[in-house]
Amino acid sequence: MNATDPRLTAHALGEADSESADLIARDTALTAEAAQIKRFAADLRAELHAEPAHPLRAEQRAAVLAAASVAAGPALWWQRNTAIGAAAACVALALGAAIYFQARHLSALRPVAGADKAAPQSVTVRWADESGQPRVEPVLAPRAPVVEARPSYPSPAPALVRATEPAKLPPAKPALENLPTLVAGSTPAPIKVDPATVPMNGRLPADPESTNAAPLRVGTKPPAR
Amino acid sequence: MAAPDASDIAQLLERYERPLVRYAMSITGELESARDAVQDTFIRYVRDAAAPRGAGSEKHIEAWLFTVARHRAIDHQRKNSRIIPMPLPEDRPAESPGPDAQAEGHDTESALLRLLDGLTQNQRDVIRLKFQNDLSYREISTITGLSETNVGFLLHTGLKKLRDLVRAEPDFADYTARHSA
Repeated sequence: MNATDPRLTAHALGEADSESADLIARDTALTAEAAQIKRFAADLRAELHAEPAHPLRAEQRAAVLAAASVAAGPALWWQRNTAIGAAAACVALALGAAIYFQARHLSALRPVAGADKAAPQSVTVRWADESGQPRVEPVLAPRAPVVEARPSYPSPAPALVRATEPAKLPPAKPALENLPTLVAGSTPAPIKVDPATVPMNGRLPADPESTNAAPLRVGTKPPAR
Repeated sequence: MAAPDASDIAQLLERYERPLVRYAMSITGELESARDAVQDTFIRYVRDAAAPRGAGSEKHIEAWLFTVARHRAIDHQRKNSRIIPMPLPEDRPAESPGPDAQAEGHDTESALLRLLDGLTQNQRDVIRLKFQNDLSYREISTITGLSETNVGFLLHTGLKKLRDLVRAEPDFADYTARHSA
């Protein structure tokens, strides 16, 4: 070891190991050099400690303390955002699941062959006119496609909907017999109207002795005296 | 780990704000930039969940604060070095610094501290950390990112150069004679 060895400075500053300390202790020149370094380091330390040290400005200290108060508060901004994000994720998952299962259920209902060509064009309706004579007329039948339901869950029996044949229609109900004005070609009975039940539609009654005989004046000036 | 409350930060400010501003000022060369760097350092300490906290972590906290303050001060120094000062008109006299500015400036530094300008930035850095803030080789290594061997070498060469400057300086003739006797 010589005077240019960094271990000499480390020894003077109390950072060297015991092996370096033994080497220096055995050499008087190194010991004197280490003492010089130690003395100079003490003077330098005193000068550097005496150098002025300025604090933060008052508003800077306040900003730091305010940041500490916010950080130690009940919830940080990112914690609140995390909670909101978790709730939004739950809602999105629930919506996604609902859409998925709805689509899966609808995919089980498939049209077999569009509109059924063999379906009847019309159905026959039987009814009675005002004279009690039975009448029979064809009525256009709906052309909805035949749909076969294939549920994904176990079902007691597969549901199959088909258009009914005209001969299998139930007979006309008696309630249909009291529709005289709807019969084409028949003479409707005269309608008797009770005047008491007819609304006036803003017009005055025809009775001149009525207390309401004088015409109403709305928005006009009273007669001059 | 829980964020420190205002009383914890007040204690840290009381203990470290002045050493940190002084150290940052040795890097930036300007007081306000040093203060800004130290303010940033404390705010980051408050918000950084990975920062050391609690009793028994004083040395870690100190090293953390000096490390961040050093980086912040270097950032400020680089940013300010890119600013080109506008030349003053010749008919307008330069404003002389007031008494406060003079007190805060370098006018009060001693002749020995002025000699530190003759060292490299790395040498000045480790000398200030060692002798002004009483940090160990290991702590200086953590703060500066240098190896402990490199820290020891920089301290050794820096002290040797500083002693040579003192011997060559006429102002230190008495000092040299007293210590060589």
